[in-house]
Amino acid sequence: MNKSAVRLVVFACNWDGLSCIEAAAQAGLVYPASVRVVRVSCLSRVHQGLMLKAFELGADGVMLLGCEPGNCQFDIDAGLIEQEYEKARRVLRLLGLGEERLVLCHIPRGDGSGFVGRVTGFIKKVERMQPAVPAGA
Amino acid sequence: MAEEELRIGVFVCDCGLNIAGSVDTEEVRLFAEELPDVVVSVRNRYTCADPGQEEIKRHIREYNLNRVVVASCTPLLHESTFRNCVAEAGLNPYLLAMTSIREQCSWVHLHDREAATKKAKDIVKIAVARARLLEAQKEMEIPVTNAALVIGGGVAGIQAALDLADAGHQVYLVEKEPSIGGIMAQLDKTFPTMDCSICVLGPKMMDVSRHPRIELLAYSTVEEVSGYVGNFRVRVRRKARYVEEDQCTGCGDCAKVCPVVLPDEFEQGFSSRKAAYIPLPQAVPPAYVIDMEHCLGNNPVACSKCIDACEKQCIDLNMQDKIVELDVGTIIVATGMGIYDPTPLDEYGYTRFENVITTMEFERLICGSGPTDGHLIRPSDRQTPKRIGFIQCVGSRTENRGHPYCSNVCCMNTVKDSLLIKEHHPDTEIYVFYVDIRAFGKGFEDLFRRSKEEGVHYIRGLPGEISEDPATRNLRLKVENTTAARVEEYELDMVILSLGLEPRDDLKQLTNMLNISQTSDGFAMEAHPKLRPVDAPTPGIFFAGCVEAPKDIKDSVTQAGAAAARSAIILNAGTIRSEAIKAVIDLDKCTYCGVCARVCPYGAIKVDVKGKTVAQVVAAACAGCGTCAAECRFDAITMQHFSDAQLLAQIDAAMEEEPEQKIISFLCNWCSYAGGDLAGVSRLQYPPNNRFIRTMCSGRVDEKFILHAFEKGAPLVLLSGCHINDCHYINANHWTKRRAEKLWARMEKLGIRPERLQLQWVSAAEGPRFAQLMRELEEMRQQVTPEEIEHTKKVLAEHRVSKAKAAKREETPEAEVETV
Amino acid sequence: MFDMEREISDSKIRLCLDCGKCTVVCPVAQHDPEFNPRLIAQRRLTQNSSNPQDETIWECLSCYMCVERCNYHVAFPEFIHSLRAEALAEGAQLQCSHGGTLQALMHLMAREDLRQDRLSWLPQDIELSEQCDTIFFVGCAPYFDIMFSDLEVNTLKGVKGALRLLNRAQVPFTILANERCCGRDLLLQGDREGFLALARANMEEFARHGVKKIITNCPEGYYTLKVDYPRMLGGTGIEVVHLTEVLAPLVQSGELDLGELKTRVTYHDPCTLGRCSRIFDEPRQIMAAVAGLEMVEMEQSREKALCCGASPWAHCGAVNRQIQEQRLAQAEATGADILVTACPKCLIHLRCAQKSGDGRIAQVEIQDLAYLAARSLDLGGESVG
Repeated sequence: MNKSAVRLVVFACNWDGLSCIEAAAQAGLVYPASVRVVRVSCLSRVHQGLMLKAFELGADGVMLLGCEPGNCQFDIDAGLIEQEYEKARRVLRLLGLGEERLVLCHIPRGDGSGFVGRVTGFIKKVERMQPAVPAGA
Repeated sequence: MAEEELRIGVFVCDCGLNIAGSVDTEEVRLFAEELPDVVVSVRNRYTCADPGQEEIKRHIREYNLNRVVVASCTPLLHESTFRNCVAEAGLNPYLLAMTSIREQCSWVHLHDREAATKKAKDIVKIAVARARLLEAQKEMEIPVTNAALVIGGGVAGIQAALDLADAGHQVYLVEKEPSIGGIMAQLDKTFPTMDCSICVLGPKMMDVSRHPRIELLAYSTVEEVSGYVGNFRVRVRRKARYVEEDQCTGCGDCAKVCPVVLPDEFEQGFSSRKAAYIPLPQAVPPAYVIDMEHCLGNNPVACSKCIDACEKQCIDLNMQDKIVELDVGTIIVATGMGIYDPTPLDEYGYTRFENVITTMEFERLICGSGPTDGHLIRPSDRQTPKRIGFIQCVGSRTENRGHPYCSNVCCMNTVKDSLLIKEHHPDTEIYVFYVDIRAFGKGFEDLFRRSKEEGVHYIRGLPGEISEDPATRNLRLKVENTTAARVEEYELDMVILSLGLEPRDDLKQLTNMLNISQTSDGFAMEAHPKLRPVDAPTPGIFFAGCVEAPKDIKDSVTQAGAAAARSAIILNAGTIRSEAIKAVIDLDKCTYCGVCARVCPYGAIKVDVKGKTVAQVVAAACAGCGTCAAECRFDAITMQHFSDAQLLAQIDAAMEEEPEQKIISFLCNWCSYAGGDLAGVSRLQYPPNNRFIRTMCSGRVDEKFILHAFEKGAPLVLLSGCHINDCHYINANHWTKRRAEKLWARMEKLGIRPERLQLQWVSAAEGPRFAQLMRELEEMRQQVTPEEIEHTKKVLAEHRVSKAKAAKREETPEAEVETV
Repeated sequence: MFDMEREISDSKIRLCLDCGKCTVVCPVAQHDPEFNPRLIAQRRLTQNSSNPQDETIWECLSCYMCVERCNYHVAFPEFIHSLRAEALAEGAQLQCSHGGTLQALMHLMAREDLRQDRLSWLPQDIELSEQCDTIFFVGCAPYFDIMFSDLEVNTLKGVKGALRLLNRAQVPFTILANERCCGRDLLLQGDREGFLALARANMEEFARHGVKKIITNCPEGYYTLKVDYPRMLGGTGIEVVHLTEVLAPLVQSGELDLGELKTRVTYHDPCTLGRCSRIFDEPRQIMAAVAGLEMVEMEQSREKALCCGASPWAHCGAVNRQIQEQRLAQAEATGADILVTACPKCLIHLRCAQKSGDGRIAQVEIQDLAYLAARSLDLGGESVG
């Protein structure tokens, strides 16, 4: 997929998460430029506020890209991230925006194609949904 | 006056820049010159000043003027000045028409020179229209009763009574309490001299009792006042003392045996008295009194120990109240003030915390003849307090429980109290918590300085809360020391609340009786705050002391002297000239229907309906309200100086050009016009569409004036007077209201929107309300369409014609006598 | 849009006598000597321009204690709100708490085309009247319960209690599926645009459904809809009443019978319901109507009630915590089993203090008034919550 109108924000943890993105770049794999990557030290840094903020600023979808359970660089309990993710999803559901707009992805280290596959799949799903941001916003 | 050629002189005042700053007075002068019958038009910088007055007189002589119009400030201020001026030039003073282009024009239209000038021209045209029809009048001379009534026996009343009596006049001094003396008798010392209060007051009280020309009616109240300046009739109720005043020796044996024990109000409840008591040892009259409300009973007599104990046999439990009728020429109101009750201020804990007391309670505690013989002790444990705090502004300068004004005396009173404490106990720590220390008078700053030199601490900040230590009953006070910008806590043995003054609860009763008004603060309203500070707006009534506003003893005494002097002017004159605004009956037209007699608030018209004698006006009693003239259906009554013709001419003048742009306002001299003046003095701005016509009372406004205004094309008419129970002429405005209601019904029937006649009461103190009303009226006026106005003119013209025809056909109809 | 001169004049701050009573009674000033309401006003007025360095303008809780004591009832909280709006307009940064979650939510909720799905919590047996021009305004409870789930606050319990009480009292109402946050917190923070966006979205929603009357149990929503909306938008034509104003006359007259609950409680007057809206008696009348309920007043109650230390989701810090500690200690001192409050924000903030792990903080149970009253209706504790 080359282009899309869907604006995505990907919070990628600096370790496993970023490695997938770099691997994709090195392999020359292509995904739309409307996907913006925000690098964080660890996904646990991303609380519900940041997730919702991305939507406030105009994101149609948010992906949390992090390590597989047990692989955390900082040994953070994956449950913490799950909790924040769940909260944000429920808020999105209540808002009527759709909880599917927020996904949490654990991808093995360096799996570039896996990442691209997930991203493009996500974009297609979001494209099928009503726009989160009104036209012209 | 039809034969004589009219020669009108118009004098337009610049008033420095007060008028000339926003009105083109030259343009107004030129305009006036062109008006018919005006032979000369002059512009003056300050018409009321000597040169200005000389110029008027000169012009009267040179141009042989027989009418004078002065367009300057409000007639309420200087009409008498200019009347005297023209009289000096040989012209009858009632041939002067004075009108305001200042308070009612230049000051309220500061930013629209063109509109203000246009309005000023109209105002002059209206005045000239009236002037044409003015007639010379002769003022009545009425004899003055050479006696004065002083209501209230505090220091102000005492001083006023003594001054008047010394000047040779008979004085009746009426005091509600069993003894004179008032609040001053309860004080220990006075500032700034630190004189003993009762020592200074006592001799004056004795002078009152001994003075051959002062009749003291203590334990008495004024019940009714009727009449007018020079001739007041006052009904006084002398409450039964149950003790023969002249016989009582003050031995006190009755009190010793009386079984009823009550809190002593004089001692602020710190000690007790009996039902048989004397309020203070230095009481004048020096007689005991039986407090029948608390006595065990006199019908039947339940106990009679006092009678048994009285050697002089001067107790009579069957005594009755006595009613006394007094004739006086002037009345001085000196009823004093009330004191704010701080109980609602729960953050200060008064009545919850024993050691939080008030300044009045402190006075009694520190006073040598007080309940503790002058030993300063605190209520909870009777120990001498070592750390005392004063809290200022309690109940003053606030919209949050209390009064918005400053009570004048509390700052200096606390300074004085602090020095008293230091005198008794030099090592007491004293803290005064204040916002400002107002030490404005002679010797005040000195006293304040002394207090500081003695080590009294002045902390700028008012405490936010006080709490009590249940064990010690000490008080913990939290305050922001605003000078240091930090919150501090003080532990104190006693806290004294510096209470504000307020009008007495019963003042309203008195003001109603005397037909005088109260300001928005509730104190008695003076005629003019600067130039007539002790006069009530009602002639013959004066104020002295705190009834008019909070003040200290010096100012009360000064004001008492002033009130006495001004009273004496009237009493010395022997006769009084009554303003020549009187009702005159046309004997040919009178049908002796009796309506005028019914509506006259003063009972000044006598008519025998059954005996078929025509109405007769008792001129001396006529106050000039004009209600009779407005109510008379046969046009048989002429109001001198405010005739129908003059009022109709003023309406015509106002409506001559662009009537649809103008609102006609009928304003009464005492309230709504004065309210308009206050709006002007306060420089409140409003649209310039108002054209005012002044009458003495709103009751004067005949329905035919209003209909005439509408027929001439007025979009809106305002009928305005005193508030319904505050009419200067007692109750004349009730008739105004009735008339308006009948008119509204008529207008509705004729298809004219009734809301185009507005009835709004505005008091002399309501400047902002007047301005707001003008703004609202202008908005309403803009909603009135030209079609509406045309329709109104047509309908009213037809109505007038058909009415006239009907009147010609009819015999004298049955009288409609209505009761108020 | 923003006339600072007029707002300063409207607040009457120029009448300040500098007496300092406000500083003494202010709960923030008690714990932070740097905070001085009087000096904030002075600094701003003497400079006649905003002072971006004045950090203290963010600390005010809008608890209205100063207004209560002030000689001129100077509207100091409103003045602070104006100062904050001015500061933000000049580039100051807002320190959002909870990472800005609530702000993001409020901004998202202002979107015009939003179609919320927020009524799934509504119990089946709550009766809504069709075609009714009276609505029950729920407020942000559904969102709060998600965002603060770790605090175990469950503010929806109070809402459900309110609905059951209204049903029992046979007061007809309906609930709008797409009501928005009232926006009060944005107004307090100085985010005028954000507030107006929410206000307009709400007004459109109300207009679309012909709403003439609003009942709510959230004091902040109540005050904002009743006072701030007309003030900032120029009149709404909608009558706004608080739940207790509806229920209190009914319990007093006997038309609504509350059952029995044998327990000792104390009541925390929410600042916005109490001092701001002067509703002190109605909640007490409702509690008095529950048989067996003993209500003990805290040392600071009614007009003098101590604030719960709630922030508008911004600049929340140590001082807030200290105030919460003080208030919970006052509640504990009454010996009550339950601390009753009538505001979701009070509930959240006091719970947050209790959950903070600070051993000093009193752990008295906190319940919402409507929930408590509904419980007494003999419906069983669980079915309400």
